Parts: sequence; C-alpha cells; structure tokens
Amino acid sequence: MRKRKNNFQLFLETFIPFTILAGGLVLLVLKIGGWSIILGIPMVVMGVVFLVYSYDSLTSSQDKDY
Amino acid sequence: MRNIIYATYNYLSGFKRFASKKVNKIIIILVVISSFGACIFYYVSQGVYEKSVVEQMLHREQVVSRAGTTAMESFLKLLGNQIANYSTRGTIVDSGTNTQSDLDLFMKIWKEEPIGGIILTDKNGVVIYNSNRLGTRDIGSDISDRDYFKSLKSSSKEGEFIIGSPVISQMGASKGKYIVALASPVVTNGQFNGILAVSLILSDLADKYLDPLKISPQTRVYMIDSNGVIMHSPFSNLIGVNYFEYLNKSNLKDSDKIIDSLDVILRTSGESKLDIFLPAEPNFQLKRYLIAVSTVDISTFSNSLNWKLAIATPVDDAFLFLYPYSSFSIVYLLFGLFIVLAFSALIILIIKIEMAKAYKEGFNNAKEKK
Repeated sequence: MRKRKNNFQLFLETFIPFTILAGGLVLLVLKIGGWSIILGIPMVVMGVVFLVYSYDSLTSSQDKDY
Repeated sequence: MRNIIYATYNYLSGFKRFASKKVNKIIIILVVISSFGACIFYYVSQGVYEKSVVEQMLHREQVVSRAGTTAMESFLKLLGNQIANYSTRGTIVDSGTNTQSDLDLFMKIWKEEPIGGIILTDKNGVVIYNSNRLGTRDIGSDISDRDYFKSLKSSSKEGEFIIGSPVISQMGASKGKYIVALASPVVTNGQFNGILAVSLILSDLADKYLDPLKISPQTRVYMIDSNGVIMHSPFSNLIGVNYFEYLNKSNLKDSDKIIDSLDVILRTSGESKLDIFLPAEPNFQLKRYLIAVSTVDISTFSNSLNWKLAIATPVDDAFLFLYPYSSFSIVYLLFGLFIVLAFSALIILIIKIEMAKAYKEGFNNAKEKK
C-alpha cells in the first residue's frame, strides 16, 4: 500500500500548478511586448496540464488510502 | 530546501508516469490544444479590440479637428467680412473725430473673441488710430513692411480682405503668441488710402474653439504651418519652433522615420491620421500618440501657407475605453480554462470509476472460478 501524502507534498502539488497558471495569466493580461506570447501562453498551458495531473494524483492517493 | 527539491523531483517523476499512460496522453493533448486555443483567442481578440479602439479614437479626433478647422475658417471669414464692411464706413474712409470711438466700439463688440486690437493706417502704412485690449493708443508705428500692407497697396479692391502671414507678437496682450492680421483696404475716391487691420491671436483662437472639444485631458492641440513651424502648442517653448529641426536636434533613435511620416502628413492637403511614437513634452520620453490632422484652408484670402490643425491624444487614453472589453475577455478566458479543467476532471473520474468497476468484476469472476 502506498504511503499517504504528507501536507507538504499536498501543498506543493496544488501550489506548483496554480502558481504557474496564475503567473501565465498575469503575463498574458499585462501584455508585455513579446513575453505574453513567449512565456505567458506556455505557462498557462503548463499550469492547466499540471492541474489536471495534480487532480489525478490527489484522487489516486485518496483511492489508495481506503 | 532539500525537501522542496526532493518533493519537486517526486512531483515531476509522478507526472512522467502519468503522461506515459495512453489515455492520459490523449487527455493531455486535448487539454494542451484547448487551453492553447483559449489563450490564442484571448490574445487575438485583445489585438482586434485595440485596433478597433485606435480606429475609433482616430475617427473621433478627425471629427474634432474637422469641426475645429470649420469653426476657424468660419470665424476668419466672419471677421474678415466684418473688417471689409467696416473699412467702407464713412468714419473710416474719412477719418476724423468719430473714428477712434468707432474702433473702440468694434473692440467692444468683439471683446469676447481672441482679437488683440484694431488699427487704421494712412496710405504710407503709419498707424493713425488704434484700439486694443490693453486700452493703449500706440500710434505712429510703421507697418508698411508687412506682407498684407504691401499686398493691399499693390492691388486694393474695396470691400475685400486678406489674411497676413502669422508672426510672433512682440508686444501687448499677445506678446510671445502667434498673431495673424486680417486686413482690408481703405479706399477714398477710388484711391488707396491705408488699411484697416485686426490682429487675431491664434493660440487664443485654438483655445476658444478647440479646448472644449478635447477627447481627454491629455489631448493636445497643435497648429502648425506646412513647413512644420508650430504656431500653437500647449507648451510655450515649442511656439515658433520648427518641429522637424526640433526632432533633428533631439538625437532620437528613429527621428528620421518620424520626420518622414510627419512631413508626408503636413504636405498632404485635406485630412490625415497618424499612429506614431513622438517625444512627449515636457520630459521628452517617447510616447505613442494618435494624431488627426485637418487643414485650415485660407488660400482664398492669403498668400501664406495653409495651417494644419493637429489633435494628438496618447494611446493610453484611448485604451481607457478598452477596459470593459478586456475585463470581459479575461472572464471568458478564465471560464474557458475552467471548462477545460472540469471536462478533464470528469474524464479522469469516469476512467477511475470504470477501472474500479472492471477491477471489481475481474476480482469477482476470479473468485467465482475458484
């Protein structure tokens, strides 16, 4: 049976994708010449993908606990 | 710190495992495509909105400058015709005791308008009567060297008026400002006998007719001749300055390109619009301006160059109108991303439920076989 995730891991799994997503959105909204496209859009996409993974990871760990 | 690195490593290796599954690969591709599409849609729509707002602002400025030039042309014609009529009055043609009171009456009638004063000269160009805003009676000055006097003396037609070349006033209430003279010949018994002329303060004219039409508090109104000499500006240090020389001396990186663009605009007759970076007074930083230019057509009454009326608004002021649209776009983007996330979560949940069901079925089947 897999070990239950500690609070720090849970925090990191939610903090990383949300930070990337929020950073990307800020860059996109600020319309900084060039950076909005070069960094903003990839960050938003990565943030969303990591959020999906985090969701999957969190629900999987919950499944395995019981 | 070590914990963070370890946890991040764990997180990323976990993601690698997650992404290696075929179903998850499909989910990731769909998420990437849809969120990328949402971002691109947001970015492109912002560009479209901006372009539209810039176009609208330029159009509004064009309307304002057109209204301004029309008002100025009408005012010049009205004042010119008034001078032409006045120059045929008996008290002006045969100057005498009532002439001064007639000129004072003229100033009283026109006191709300940007007129510096009115003078009557003899046939040699010496001022013999004068009425002005300051109430002084400066007579005896010789204006025979002025272009409008020479022009009227050489071909004087009773009841007509001409507009002189703009000059910077050296005295009186209009000191330091550009003034222009509207003059009409005084003809006695078919002979040229002097001129009747009023001085019009161009800055005050622009302030009176254009300031109320400003689109934003940062909107600036300039009056320039076709050679680029600034006749009216909100900054007094620019008045009388040739703007092309001013830009040349500024050592700006792209001053040549700016000069070329402005030169084309000033040489064009009629109306034009411009979206350009210009040094902003007073700190001389490059700023994006939206400029509409209209021509004050005085060619019928003057030998001097036509005047250009330029209305300039910083693009940031135009983008103030964009905020409602931007806010909506952000809401749409967030909503789009939320839908993507919710849909992905749903698929993952369905897969998990189905897998659990299949696992349970398989377990039960194996149990029954035993």
